[in-house]
Amino acid sequence: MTDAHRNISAQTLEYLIGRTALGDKSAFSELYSLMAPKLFGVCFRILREKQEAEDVLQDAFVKIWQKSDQYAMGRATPVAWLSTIVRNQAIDRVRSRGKPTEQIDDHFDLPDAEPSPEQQTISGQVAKQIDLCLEQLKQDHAQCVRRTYLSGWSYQQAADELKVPINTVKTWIRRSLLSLKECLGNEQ
Amino acid sequence: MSNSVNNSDLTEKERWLAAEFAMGVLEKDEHDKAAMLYDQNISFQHEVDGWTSRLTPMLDDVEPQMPSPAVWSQIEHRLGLVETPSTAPKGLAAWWQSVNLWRGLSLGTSAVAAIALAMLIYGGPLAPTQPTLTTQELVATLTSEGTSPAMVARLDRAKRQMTILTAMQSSAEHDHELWLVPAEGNPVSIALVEAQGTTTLDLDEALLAQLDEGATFAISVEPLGGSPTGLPTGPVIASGQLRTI
Repeated sequence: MTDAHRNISAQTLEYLIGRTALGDKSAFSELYSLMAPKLFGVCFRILREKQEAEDVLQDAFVKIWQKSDQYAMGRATPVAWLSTIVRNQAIDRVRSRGKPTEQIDDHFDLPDAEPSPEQQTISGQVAKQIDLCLEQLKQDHAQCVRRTYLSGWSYQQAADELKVPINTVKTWIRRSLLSLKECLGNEQ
Repeated sequence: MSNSVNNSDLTEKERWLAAEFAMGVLEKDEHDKAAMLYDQNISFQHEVDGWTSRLTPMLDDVEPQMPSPAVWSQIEHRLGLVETPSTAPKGLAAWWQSVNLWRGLSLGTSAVAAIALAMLIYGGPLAPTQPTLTTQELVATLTSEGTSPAMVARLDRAKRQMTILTAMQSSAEHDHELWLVPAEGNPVSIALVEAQGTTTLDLDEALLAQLDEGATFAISVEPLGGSPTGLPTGPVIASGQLRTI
């Protein structure tokens, strides 16, 4: 777990993705050991089933290897690029189940607390910025955005989970996204 | 991270689709449609990337968890990244086997390295100025136990040169030093070598005289600038012997 708690710089990740694009196996292996725990956390959070989350992580890293030459430095942060592949893979999987995710009564269902300072930030200083921006939203809107994003919920699932009508959820999320865009700006 | 592309050619609906795709709230059909649009439409792609960059920091709240070790080995198998374990046969067979292993690695490592290696091994066709096998040619493959080669060296006695191709973990804190290890006496420093790449070394007569079939090379990890004592001070990470080809 030590790797997961190490502060991983964007430059390191960009270098490793670049080397991976050249077919450098050891760079890919290092990228995996640096990022797998975090990305597995992301998968598990969405799928809530270990075996399925591991399958998705596997598929995602196969994609990362294959698509590493398409990573455009400067357009997205390496963490954004990697986690998008993982999230999309997990969301594809969860949507094709065709039924809502089973609720497991574990600590993942606790409302998301504000991140503690000692928690690893995988995306650097921007993390603080988004927390500040979320704080400006109404509390239930901010909770809705956070939980929906982290859990990979669709609008319908979010409505079911939060026990509010789907149109309400849509309005909350859309309004929140507009506020976030304004707060965070276009230049990322 | 400038994202100054003007995305105004997207419709209002497409801009929402981008935001909701990045957010992950779309049902399957819409999600798939957005994924397709992402691959086809550069403005849409930029719009999604902008949203992704804004939203990803929320993932900092996710607790890291260790996947089981089987995941990595399955990834390696699926991508064909697993190397054949070396059974260490003798002589020419050993050389070919290790060079084939090396070729596989370097083809993957980079096209440049692969071409460089082809020149090292085959000489002639890719390097027309090089005389082909007019004199004795010697090659050494340096490995550490159970890993892929760290270095391949080819000695051209006529030119008094040795061309080396390296593939080692680079480090900002250490240098790699190449040594000749005589049967008796102290190792002799040949040169500091780059972690990755191709280098041609000019050899003096004294050193050349010691480079014959069976001569042993080793690479050690040394402080920047090389061993301060003139003898290896750090761990030896690879070694190998010169063989006739």
